[in-house]
Amino acid sequence: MQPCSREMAAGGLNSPTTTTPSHQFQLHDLHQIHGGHHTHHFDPSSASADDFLDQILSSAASSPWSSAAAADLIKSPWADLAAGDSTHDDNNNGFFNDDPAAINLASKFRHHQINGGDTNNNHNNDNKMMLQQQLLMASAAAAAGDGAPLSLFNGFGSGSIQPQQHFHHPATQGAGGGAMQPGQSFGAGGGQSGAAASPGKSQPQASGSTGGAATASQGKPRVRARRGQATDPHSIAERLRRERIAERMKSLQELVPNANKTDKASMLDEIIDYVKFLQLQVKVLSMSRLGGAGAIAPLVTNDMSSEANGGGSESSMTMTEQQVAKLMEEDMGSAMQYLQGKGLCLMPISLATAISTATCRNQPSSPNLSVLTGGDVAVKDSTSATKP
Amino acid sequence: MSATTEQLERNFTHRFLTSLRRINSPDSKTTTTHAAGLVIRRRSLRIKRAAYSSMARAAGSHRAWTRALLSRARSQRRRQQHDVHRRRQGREMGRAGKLRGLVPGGSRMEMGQLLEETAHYVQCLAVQVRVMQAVADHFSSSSSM
Repeated sequence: MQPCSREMAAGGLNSPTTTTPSHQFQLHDLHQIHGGHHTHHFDPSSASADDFLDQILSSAASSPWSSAAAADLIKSPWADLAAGDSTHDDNNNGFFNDDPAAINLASKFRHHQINGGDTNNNHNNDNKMMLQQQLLMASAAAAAGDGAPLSLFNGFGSGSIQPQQHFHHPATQGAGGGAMQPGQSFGAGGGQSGAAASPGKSQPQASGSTGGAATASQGKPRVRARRGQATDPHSIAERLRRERIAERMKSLQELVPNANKTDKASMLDEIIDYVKFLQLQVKVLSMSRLGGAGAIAPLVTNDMSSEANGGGSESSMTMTEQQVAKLMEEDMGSAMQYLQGKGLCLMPISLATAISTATCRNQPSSPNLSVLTGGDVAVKDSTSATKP
Repeated sequence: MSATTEQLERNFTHRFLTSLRRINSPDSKTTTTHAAGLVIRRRSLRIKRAAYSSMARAAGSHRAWTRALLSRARSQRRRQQHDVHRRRQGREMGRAGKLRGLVPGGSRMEMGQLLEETAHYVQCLAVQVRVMQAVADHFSSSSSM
């Protein structure tokens, strides 16, 4: 996860659209955000902030799969923790209340994120479709003298929810007129075929075919009722409400991935899961290091100096170990975050020795490899595989 | 990407980065003698709240969910901890009830409005996640190595 995102961010920074001076300015802005001692208050409305925005947004736009990284973040540590230690205390986790649910959510929507998450394209189409629907309803109400074309269109609107009813309509109306194409009438094509069929529908309506679907749009006083249904205002209002809800459900279908469910209940389930998944992602992302290393580091030295922990002439490695041990007692997540900020990770001793021997065999010196061994930390975690 | 989504993204990124700067800069909150783990937890909560508030402000107050979110943030900030769960829709069972619980202000809406607000909320959440991911990537890549 890390190397890929680094590449993408580097690609964003080196994009040809930005000039070098603005590039350096953004790094300056970054340092400010890192929480150093900035002497002057940085004006957010200055041009450098906008350049910074451009960089962020360009890397955001050009890395659609980077959000897969968040899904990875959710999936891998918690899968390991949940699988490795079933009696793991949730309080120590501090992240989720129910781990398996979170893992399910992540795995469910992961492929959608990897595919790029073209929710915006879908929203465009959805906008156009809704606009088309509204235009059609308005034009149909104006054009036709009775509610027949309207009833035809409303049938398509509710057809997505009740497919059985819909299949009856093309049969009855296909017998009556000739301008209908039932193949494309279902779902998204309902708008166009509604427009195509409405001119040809006035004749069967004159012949009194009551196979048309539900009636009465806004602003239509006379309603042609369905066979066997009352025309009292309550049921009409109820029908209107149901159609409105069906319309909204369809627009939601475009936004939410895996939304090929025709059942309203399962569609709602999908929506609920997706909202939960997005909120979970926000939570996870808020825990990641967002340039806050400066806030944490002085606190570390404060802690070490405030409590007598056995001498101040210890090496930095032992100090880190003790700090990590202390953090792990309170909150596992913060310990992992602290390690991540230092570029370290936790692994069993066997793996550590294997890596170190392998690396030492290939190269005599490996500066990037810093292994936390010894002390209480490694001993405690020698049996569990905990990796960031 | 449509124009409104792009505008929303810019607006949100602007506000979010401003809040992030304020959170990251060393102020009186972070130098208290608390355990490091607690500080990290508190900081992540602050970031999460800042993200939601920034998104609510960026989306505009013509949406019911943004108003509900901002009023919830305001009451929480005043340390009232007053649970704004005044149920206009008597606690509905099943899926609709769950959705009402997820969308801010959902307990007051009826079904049609709830679905509409959910659609807009989902859109804004997607933008929020995308931007936050980009910011996190930016910071983690520029600081390490």
